[in-house]
Amino acid sequence: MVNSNGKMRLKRTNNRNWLMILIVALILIYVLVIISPFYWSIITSLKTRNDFRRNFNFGFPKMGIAISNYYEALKALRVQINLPAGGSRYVYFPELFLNSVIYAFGCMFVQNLVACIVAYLCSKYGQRKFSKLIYSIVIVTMILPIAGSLASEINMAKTFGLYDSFFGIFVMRANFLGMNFLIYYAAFKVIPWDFAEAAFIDGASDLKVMTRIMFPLIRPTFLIACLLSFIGYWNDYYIPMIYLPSKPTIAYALYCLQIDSGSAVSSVPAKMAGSIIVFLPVFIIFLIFNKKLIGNLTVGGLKG
Amino acid sequence: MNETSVSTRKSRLKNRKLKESIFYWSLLAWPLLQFCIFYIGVNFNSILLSVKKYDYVTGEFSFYGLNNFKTFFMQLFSENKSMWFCFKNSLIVYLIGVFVTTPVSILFSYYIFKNGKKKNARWTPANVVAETAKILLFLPTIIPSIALVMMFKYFGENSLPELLNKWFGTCFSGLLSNDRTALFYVFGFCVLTGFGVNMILYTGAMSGIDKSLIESAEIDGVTPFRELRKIIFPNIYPTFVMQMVLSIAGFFTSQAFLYSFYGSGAPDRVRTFGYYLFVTIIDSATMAEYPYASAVGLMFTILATPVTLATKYLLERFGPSPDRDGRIRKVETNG
Repeated sequence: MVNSNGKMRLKRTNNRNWLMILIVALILIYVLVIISPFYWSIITSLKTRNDFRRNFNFGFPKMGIAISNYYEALKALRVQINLPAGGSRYVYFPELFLNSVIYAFGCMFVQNLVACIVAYLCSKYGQRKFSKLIYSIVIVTMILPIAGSLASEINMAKTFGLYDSFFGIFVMRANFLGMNFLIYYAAFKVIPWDFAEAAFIDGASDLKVMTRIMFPLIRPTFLIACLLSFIGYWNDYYIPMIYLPSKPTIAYALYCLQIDSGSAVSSVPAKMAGSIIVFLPVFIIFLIFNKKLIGNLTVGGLKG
Repeated sequence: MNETSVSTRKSRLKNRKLKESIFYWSLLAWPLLQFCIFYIGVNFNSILLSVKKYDYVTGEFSFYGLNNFKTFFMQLFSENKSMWFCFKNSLIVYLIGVFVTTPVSILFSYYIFKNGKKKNARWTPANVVAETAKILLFLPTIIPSIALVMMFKYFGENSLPELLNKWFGTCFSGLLSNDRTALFYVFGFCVLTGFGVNMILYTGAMSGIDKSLIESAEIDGVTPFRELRKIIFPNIYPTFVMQMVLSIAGFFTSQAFLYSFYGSGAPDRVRTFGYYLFVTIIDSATMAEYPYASAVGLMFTILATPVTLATKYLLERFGPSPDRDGRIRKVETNG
């Protein structure tokens, strides 16, 4: 009886696992497809130009390892900018790096801070009708497919004198709209208000309750959202390209390197070295924080 | 005495309400101002721009009526097929997102959710696959897209054609420089990079499902397919609806990484509406193209809004409701 049941169960389970087998097969295909270009890029970045011309497939370098590609790429990661007084100059790696740090850190900070504060007010002061209105505004702006406001935004940035300055871009990014609001809103919603009420009885102000009690309780969520924002801004080259023409970032420099076909670094190995230089810092951050990053960010639906 | 105490309490309460109001409105002042200028103001300005034209000589905008819209419609129905390609490619990108990226993302998320390593548990082969998949699926999301594009671009131009020729005996040249294969390659790249965010959203939604429900279904011997269909999907449905609704805007705004691959020079055959709009603005040395771009954007918004709202309504109206399915679940998994 037991044996028979055991056999039946085993057979049934095997038949039923086709979905898992299919998923594993898809994962393996995905892994193969995503790993191949990575591996190829790393191998290629170590080849000399001549070696690459003869052996541009997956083979290891045959003419020695060309670390010089990385040096060449570092030199080539530069952007030519126009000076206000006329003429132009090149922005090189250290300045690009600094610009990237200022841009990514600043945008991350202002955007998350504003979203966090507004989400807090909406979730904890929800009895106010205006809080409900703000929540609805966030949902409506997410649903409304605004397609072509870029021209108007550039136009307004120029009108208000916010164009081509870090301060300007921070002002433009300091908004509460988008996914971060929903993440913070969900995080605050599950925190009981009893802590705050106890603090109010002890004479704490609203600001103290927010900064000393509520914000520390969502610190893990805040840090993860900030980290994701930072990575997003670090990788972004569209906004610096459009709004910060005289403050280029590393990602934008890599874009310039990518489309540049005339310079001395038009060789593929040097370009691959450049992409690895830009990719490596983010990859290291990812390896350190991957358990936290790919974790428990929960966003609800779009019910207004 | 009693009256005094009541009035003191009232005054304290009033004082507390006043302080709360000051706190509330002072913290909201900036976000509201920012929203008024950079959302309402920008979109209002977009409407104004769409009926203006730029004067090269004075550098000023002047009223131009509906001529920008007329130009757009003339381009749309002109013999030059560039707009038709934009429509076709945008539709392909959208459909790939709906019918390939999303279902596969749900499958991957389900596998990771079921086989992710639990704390203090021993590693099993399924854990290894799930944890590796988790990292590799998320990797394209965190890597600078331009670095990833660069790797795929030169891989597709140099190494991959050689391999394909060797394996299939065909005669491929660079996959991106060939119009026939460029579309397939770029859209394939979009699929590969689209899993990361979806995986985060869906695994997050799945982690919120009542564990006892899944455990009881497992004890009853439910198949993975049935579990996914009857328990997991109804519970992640709000996230699914959100993604479907938000993806409609992508039909008009998605560039499909074309700017990263080609700069401003993507061939007509691979262009999307999002790319067309972006390049129209970026390539404009002055603000001359802004009015036309605003008009096009406004048209897209007018077209996309009812579709988005209808999609949301239909998905919410006819989708599985967690409560109703909760009941069905119990009956079916026990059976």
